[in-house]
Amino acid sequence: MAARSRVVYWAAQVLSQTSSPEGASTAVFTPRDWASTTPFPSWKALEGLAQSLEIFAEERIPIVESSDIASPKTSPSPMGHRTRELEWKRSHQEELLRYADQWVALEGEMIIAHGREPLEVIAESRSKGIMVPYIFFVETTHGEIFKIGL
Amino acid sequence: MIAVTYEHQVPYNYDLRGISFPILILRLSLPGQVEPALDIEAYLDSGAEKSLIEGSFATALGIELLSGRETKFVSTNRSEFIARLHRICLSHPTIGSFDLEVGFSTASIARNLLGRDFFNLVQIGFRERQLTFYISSTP
Repeated sequence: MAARSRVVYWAAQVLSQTSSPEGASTAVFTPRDWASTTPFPSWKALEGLAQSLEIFAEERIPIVESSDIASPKTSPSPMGHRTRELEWKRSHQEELLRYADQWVALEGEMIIAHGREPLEVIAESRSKGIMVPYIFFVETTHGEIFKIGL
Repeated sequence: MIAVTYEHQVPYNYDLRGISFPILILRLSLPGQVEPALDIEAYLDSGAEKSLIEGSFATALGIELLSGRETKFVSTNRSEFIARLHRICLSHPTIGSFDLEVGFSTASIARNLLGRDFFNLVQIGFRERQLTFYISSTP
C-alpha cells in the first residue's frame, strides 16, 4: 500500500545515508517511482520518516513488513509514473467529490493535503515529508458542459 | 501509406463526470535542478500555441512569478488573461526531460495545458476512438 511504501522509502533514505555517507548522493533504493532517485540530506530523510510515521499513527495504518524492504515494489506500468495515483483516482471518484473545486495532493492511495490554495497544499505536503507532491485540481462541472483548453 | 512508430501508449484519463481526456503527468522543476519539484497533470492541447501552467506552481519552485516577461493568452471568445513566461524543465521517467519556456498564469486556472511548443519536442498521436494517445521522445 502507498502509505507503507512511503515509510519504506524514507527509512531507506535514512539507512542509505547513515550506513554510507559518502554514497548519499547515489540512489540505492527504488520503492515505487523515480522520485526515490532524489538524494536527500540525512536530516531531511529522518524528518520525512518521522512525519510519515505520524500520519500512520493518526490513521492507524499498519506500517511495514520486512518483505517490503527485501523486495521493493516497482510500478508495472511501462509509463511508470504515478500509475497508482491514477488508478486510485479512477476507482475513488465519489471520494474525490468531497474535494470538489479544491487542489489535492495524492501520494499512492493517500490524500496528503487538500485546499483552495495550491501553495498551501504544496507546503503541507512538503511538511509531511512528501518533497515532490503530485498535485491536481478536482474540477467539477454541472449540466451539459464541454470543456475546452482555455 | 504513412506509418509512424511510437514508443509509448497512454490511455486517456477520466474526470468526475466520467468524460475521458488526454493528460500527461509530468515533473515540473527548474532546468538543471532535481528539487524543488512538483508532479502535475497537464492536458494535451493541440489548439494551444503555448503551454500554460498554474502560476502558483512557479512560486512553489522558487520562481518569482512576476519577474517573467508578460504575455497574453487569448481564448476563443477573445477574452485575454495575463501570464508570465519562465523557462522550466518538464520531465517524465520514460519519455524524457524537456526544457521549455512556458506561460505561468497570474490568475488561478483549473487545467494546465501542454501546447504546440511541447508537441514540437515529442512525436505525439491520438486515437480518439481508442481513448489512447501515443508518444515518443523523438520529434
